[in-house]
Amino acid sequence: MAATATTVTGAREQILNRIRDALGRDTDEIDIAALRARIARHPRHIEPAFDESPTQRLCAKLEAAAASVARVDTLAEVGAAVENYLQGNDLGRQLVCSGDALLQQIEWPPSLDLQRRVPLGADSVGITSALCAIAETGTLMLISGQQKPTSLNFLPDHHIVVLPLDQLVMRMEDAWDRLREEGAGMPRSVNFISGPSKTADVEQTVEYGAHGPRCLHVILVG
Amino acid sequence: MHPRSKFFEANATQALRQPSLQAALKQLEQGFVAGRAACYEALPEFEALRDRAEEVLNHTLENLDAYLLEYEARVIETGGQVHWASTADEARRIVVDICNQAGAGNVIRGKSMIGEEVGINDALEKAGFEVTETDLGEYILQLAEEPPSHIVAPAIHKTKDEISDLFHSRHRELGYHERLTERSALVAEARQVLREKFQQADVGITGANFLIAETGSNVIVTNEGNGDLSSTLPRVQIVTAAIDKVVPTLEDASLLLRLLGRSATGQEITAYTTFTTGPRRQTDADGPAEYHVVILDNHRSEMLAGELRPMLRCIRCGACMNHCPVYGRVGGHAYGWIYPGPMGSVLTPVMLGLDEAGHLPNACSLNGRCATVCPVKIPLPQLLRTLRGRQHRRRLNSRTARMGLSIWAWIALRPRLYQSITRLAMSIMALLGRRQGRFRRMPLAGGWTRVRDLPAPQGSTFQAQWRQRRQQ
Repeated sequence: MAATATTVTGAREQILNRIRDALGRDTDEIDIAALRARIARHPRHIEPAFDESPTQRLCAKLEAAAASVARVDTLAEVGAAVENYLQGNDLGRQLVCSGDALLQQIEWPPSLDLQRRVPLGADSVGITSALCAIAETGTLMLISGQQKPTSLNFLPDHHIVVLPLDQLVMRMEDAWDRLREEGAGMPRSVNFISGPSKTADVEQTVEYGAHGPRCLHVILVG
Repeated sequence: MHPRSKFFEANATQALRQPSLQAALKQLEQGFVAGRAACYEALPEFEALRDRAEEVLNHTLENLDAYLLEYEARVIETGGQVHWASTADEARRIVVDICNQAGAGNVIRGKSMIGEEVGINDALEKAGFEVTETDLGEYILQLAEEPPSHIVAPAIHKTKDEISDLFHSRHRELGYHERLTERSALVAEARQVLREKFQQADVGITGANFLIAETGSNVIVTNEGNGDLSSTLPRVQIVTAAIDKVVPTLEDASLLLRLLGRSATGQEITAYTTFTTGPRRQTDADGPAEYHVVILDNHRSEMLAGELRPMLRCIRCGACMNHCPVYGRVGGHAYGWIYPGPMGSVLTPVMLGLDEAGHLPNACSLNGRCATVCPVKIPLPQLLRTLRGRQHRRRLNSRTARMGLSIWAWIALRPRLYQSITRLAMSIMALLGRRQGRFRRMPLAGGWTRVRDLPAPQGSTFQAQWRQRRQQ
């Protein structure tokens, strides 16, 4: 591996020097402080306007992307909504659940067999919460963490997401601010999910359930 | 892949005679083109977004070394490793070394054009690894042993019947015996086969739509979720990306994401947009233990120096090829390498040389549709003209073409002579063609008249008519 290490170091300087030559300037001619200030300021750009209410827009966009949406008033009703979904889709009673704080608060009906673990290929239903949702595009934002395996968002055939409506933001830029407020830096994975998995690789025609969940079900609370 | 850009003319002729390819290409208009048009109509801010994207990317390119170093520092801070590769060969060696060190057997790939550009699959297979493409389109092509023909929809040229046959013959060894004819059944079978590959893989290799200097993240945009499984399940993740993928902040990426899906497939946003940063943390429930990024130059720093710099703004949406009348007739394989259409006609000559790919900048009518739809406003026709100029100066075009151009240039630089010659020629041609209104044969223009008639001029030149109108 020593040989590779040398090549790698050499390539780094070569590439950076070629870039500097191409730009016609030296390293010391760059105002690195100004660039870092731009990063720290992270200016927002053009944010498309929309008229609908954020909740309306979120639901409409999710449904247009073939996700299903259920609404309940309080967290106490989530358990019944999940039961409903499982029954309606003949999915049995077992589901893999992320261990995040919101789902821990819920009192689950005894009929459900909730397992808090990393999912396996054979698990058919997973349930998670989301950090927030974005009204502009009808998108859920999920982050990884101790009790939040990323694979839970992709392996099971059915992905149920519980979202309190006070976590709905307007745009992706608001979602970044929300994440920055958490103060823990960039999580290992940030997944923006805007519908079930799909492909149009066979004759440009959409089929659902390519690799990830065939069905995405969102339970809005509030 | 072994380039075949030299044979563009023969490739194109062959493509025109393939009914299934022609049918697939016709669908582009109702699919991607109509989808983009609908998105454009629905978003009054579209042009403003294009302007801002151009600005942000120009700013990034002007400070590329600094932003790459910021990005590198963030990757290292989050526990990842950064490898730099000047050439495709170096990139291949780095990836093979990482896989060797990881003691890997099985490698899975999420679709990436950089992977195609450097030929990662071949290198890994030669080194003894089992490599599986996980994007459905790329997987189909891997089974068929064909290169992609579109950068977003790689298997766009394949019919359902061809895919049925392919799966039937190649999945038999895995215990699938039925020949499936339903689209949904084909997708389901591929899902099942690839699920196993995901679970067995030691290394997952993906590309990056963007790299973020602010956080050291890489961004992957997919509809299938294959990129996400590839970067979550294996023990080692490798991201292959080129130097032009870096953008300063998360907000800059959000700006470009608004343009990417809309321009590519007519989607406001794809099903999955994923930002991954470093290996799994101690507090993470899953994710890879190792995270590597291979940053590739491969002639891009050359482009940065000259008139081709705008090409480095490209976000690989494919809108230029979807809207190109030449691509729309001949498809991607005719271009002979992995980047087809207008963007490929700029990139391929730079990466493989004008002697190999000299046909490509000429396979264009300069109609300008590509530049009109490009989300980051790359003046593609102008870049193609730049390459034609280089070709002429390096005497790579045919002697006849060079002589013709030299004569034309000599005359065109003398306006009065030019006007009298064209005036004379137009009146003679109008006289000769007055009966039929067209010419079926024309000396020196055999390339035109062999396949179509040349309309006869009406007698007066454009310049004469222009002058007359201005006088009125």
